Amino acid sequence: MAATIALAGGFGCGGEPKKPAPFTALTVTRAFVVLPAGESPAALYATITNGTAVADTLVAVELAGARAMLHGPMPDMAMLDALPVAPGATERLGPGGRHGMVTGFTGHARGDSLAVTFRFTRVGAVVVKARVIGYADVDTAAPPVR
Amino acid sequence: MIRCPARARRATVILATFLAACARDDSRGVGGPAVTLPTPYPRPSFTLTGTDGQPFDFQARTRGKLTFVLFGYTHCPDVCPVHVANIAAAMRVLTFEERARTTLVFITTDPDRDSLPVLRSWLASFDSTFVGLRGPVEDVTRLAASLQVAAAMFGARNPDGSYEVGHGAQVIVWQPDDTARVIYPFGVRQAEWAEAMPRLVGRTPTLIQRITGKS
Repeated sequence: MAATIALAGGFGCGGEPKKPAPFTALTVTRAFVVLPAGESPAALYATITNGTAVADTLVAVELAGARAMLHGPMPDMAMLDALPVAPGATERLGPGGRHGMVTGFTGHARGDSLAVTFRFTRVGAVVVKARVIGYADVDTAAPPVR
Repeated sequence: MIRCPARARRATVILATFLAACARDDSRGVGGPAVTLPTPYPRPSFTLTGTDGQPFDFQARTRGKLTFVLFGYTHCPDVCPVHVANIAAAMRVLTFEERARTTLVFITTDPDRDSLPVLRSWLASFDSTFVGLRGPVEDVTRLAASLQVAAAMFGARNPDGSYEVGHGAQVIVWQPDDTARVIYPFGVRQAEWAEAMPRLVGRTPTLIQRITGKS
């Protein structure tokens, strides 16, 4: 199965994509990496929308020079091996819910943007631009998962 | 040493049960998404170690202050830093005098990784005046239970050797009268904190604010 590479414009590069993603696409939007506090890991948030008629599964998130893991929500925040995305469903990686934990995230500043690869079992790699924000920005950039 | 309220010692229940027993209620005037405690907590007496390495007598050092208390750990990339950052941002609505009567106390549930310098550095990235406390896991667990906060749950090791520490995510708020009447669950927005902050600190509302009901 050929991997599909979709470039969905990240929030940091002029906001939402200029052209709405076709309904038949699997898209990743509103991707953010939150600068770590002290020596702690960084957080990664994003919105994944499966506009296709086929289920898919997020199995990895990759950033250059850093390591990302998927974690579940409170209370135990256990590591996740995969995140299924049903046909037509939207899954958020957001504060208080499932989220990405990024270790080794150094050399970046608030306002930077960087490429993040979301790897799915069916469509393959979806590469987006993620904006680097601070924790005080999370409230507006990535509202809590309630 | 931790001295827990007798009532709380008798009532160590899991967080879900506790929250189910509470009702969102603005009747006490603090507003926002606060959850009213069925029975208010007096300001507790306990001593843990501050980031300066000295004993920190919580009751004596915070008496009369608006005090936000939460349990957490600095390796948490999500709930803990978001909570602390939002409270720090909302504190900007306070006057200089009100801010001097307000503090945040962060109690680590992960003393193995949260050394005092790590705790200090982490808190300083939000607000250098925030207080970090550390103590033996058993003491912190007992304190959390006395305040009906879910105890720390240490997760399995990740491939890189790191691990997660689940814990109750609520913020307990002691007002200047040394009584906690409400807790705030995770998910409170900065604007909601900012709206509640003047009332929590005991600011006297103006006539217009009393009429409109807004801070």
